[in-house]
Amino acid sequence: MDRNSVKNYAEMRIIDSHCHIGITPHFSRTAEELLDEMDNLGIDMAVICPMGAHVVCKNKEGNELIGNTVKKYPKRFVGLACVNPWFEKEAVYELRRSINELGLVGLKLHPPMQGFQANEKIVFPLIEEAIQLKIPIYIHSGTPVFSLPLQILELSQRYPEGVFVLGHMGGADFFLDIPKSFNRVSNVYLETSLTCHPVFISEAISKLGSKRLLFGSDSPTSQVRSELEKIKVLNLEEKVLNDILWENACRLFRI
Amino acid sequence: MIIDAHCHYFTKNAKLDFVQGSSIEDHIKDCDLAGIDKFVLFTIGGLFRDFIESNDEIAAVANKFPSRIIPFGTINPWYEEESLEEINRCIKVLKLKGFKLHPWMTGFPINSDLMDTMMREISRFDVPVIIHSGTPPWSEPLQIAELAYRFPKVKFIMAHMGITDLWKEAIDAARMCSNIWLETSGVPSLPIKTAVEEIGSDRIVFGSDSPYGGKGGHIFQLNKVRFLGLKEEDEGRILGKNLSKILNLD
Repeated sequence: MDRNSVKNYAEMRIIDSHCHIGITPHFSRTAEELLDEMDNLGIDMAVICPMGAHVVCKNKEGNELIGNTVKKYPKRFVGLACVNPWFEKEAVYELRRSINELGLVGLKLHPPMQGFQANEKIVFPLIEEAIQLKIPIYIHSGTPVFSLPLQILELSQRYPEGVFVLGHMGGADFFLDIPKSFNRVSNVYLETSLTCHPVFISEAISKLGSKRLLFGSDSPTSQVRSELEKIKVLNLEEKVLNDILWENACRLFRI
Repeated sequence: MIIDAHCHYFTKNAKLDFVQGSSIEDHIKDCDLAGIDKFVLFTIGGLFRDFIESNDEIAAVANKFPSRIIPFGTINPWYEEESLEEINRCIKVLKLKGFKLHPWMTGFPINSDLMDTMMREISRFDVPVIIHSGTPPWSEPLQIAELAYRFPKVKFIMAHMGITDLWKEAIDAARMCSNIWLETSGVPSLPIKTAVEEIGSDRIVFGSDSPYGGKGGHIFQLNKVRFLGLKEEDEGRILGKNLSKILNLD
């Protein structure tokens, strides 16, 4: 084992940068169930966002659920607003309301569920609004043809003043798009959930540095425990680990 | 007994950027650490070049560790005649126990006549075929299901069970075709749990995809299954019993 590797994760502060609350046709998740999962593993905080119909069409309902949950557990959660760009002006208003009135701290987009390609025009007004509001933009990635890493890279180059999170860092099949390209920009973070191999994370650290990675689980689709195991098996140095598990998310989500 | 359904051997010409192959001795050491008794081993380099040579390498390395390695061969349907011959050589001469196919990496359409020609030859033998799944346009679960309909006697193992985007479709494919088993590497936790509930634990097999996952890949993939908190008999089936039956190891 590496001399600098962390032996006791219980002593580390951990933020899970990607969790869901709500209901889908396949599964559901309450705040209390998530807290239970976090407590069992010593996770201090989580970034929560909506799922299912709340992502696609019932955006207001979803944002209110997230807003209320964050108000109920302000020391454990921060929340992302989810709006569908096809609602155009209404989506922009809803994002503004979610940030200013509901206390949410970022925008979550899911191109395949919301039916647009990550870098196409329909999403520009929302990106511009997020820049105005000075909030990060989390975008699901890894699903062809809607949300590939290079589409999100192009978007981040078009909007260098935006701050983006590449959710799932390309998922299963598109990690290879990342190491050689994402050094062109400095405004994109990579979130680790669902990326299917530990080596993808160590490669991202070696090519892009540890300041740009965020630990996330995508719970309940994946388990926090197993996503954390994916990081643990790498035996990373404490400083690197602290960046990924805590520091970067604190900076990004202003925790 | 724990059997890993999905391991790669970094044969001579295999180079995949940052992914480091490990020697077979190191691979076995990792298995010892994780408590894995046996593993299915197939090439990585042979999936995109020199498949005949890679089958020889797999057979040779399996002969060195016969109690640990279950060797699988591969073919490239674009080399039609050579591949038909190679299917026979793999089983009869090299004594390989199954085939691995990777349509997008090898670069052939899974739904082509060429593929059917290969499957007709493979179906003459009682050996399973493990196929990469989850990647459009040539490795989608329902495309594998179509093969499973056309070749009902062949046992298909769907590697990665649709991965992150097509796992629901993978469960549907397995529900429709009783000759499909779902393999757990790469897919998140919830799909595995859902598959246990919807199609049953006797249709799921553990795989690690190592050493592709790098350092700790074995342990991560194995613990992902163990952390599900399944009933002991369900976990036992997934971690070894089902594959043992598919391969007639008992």
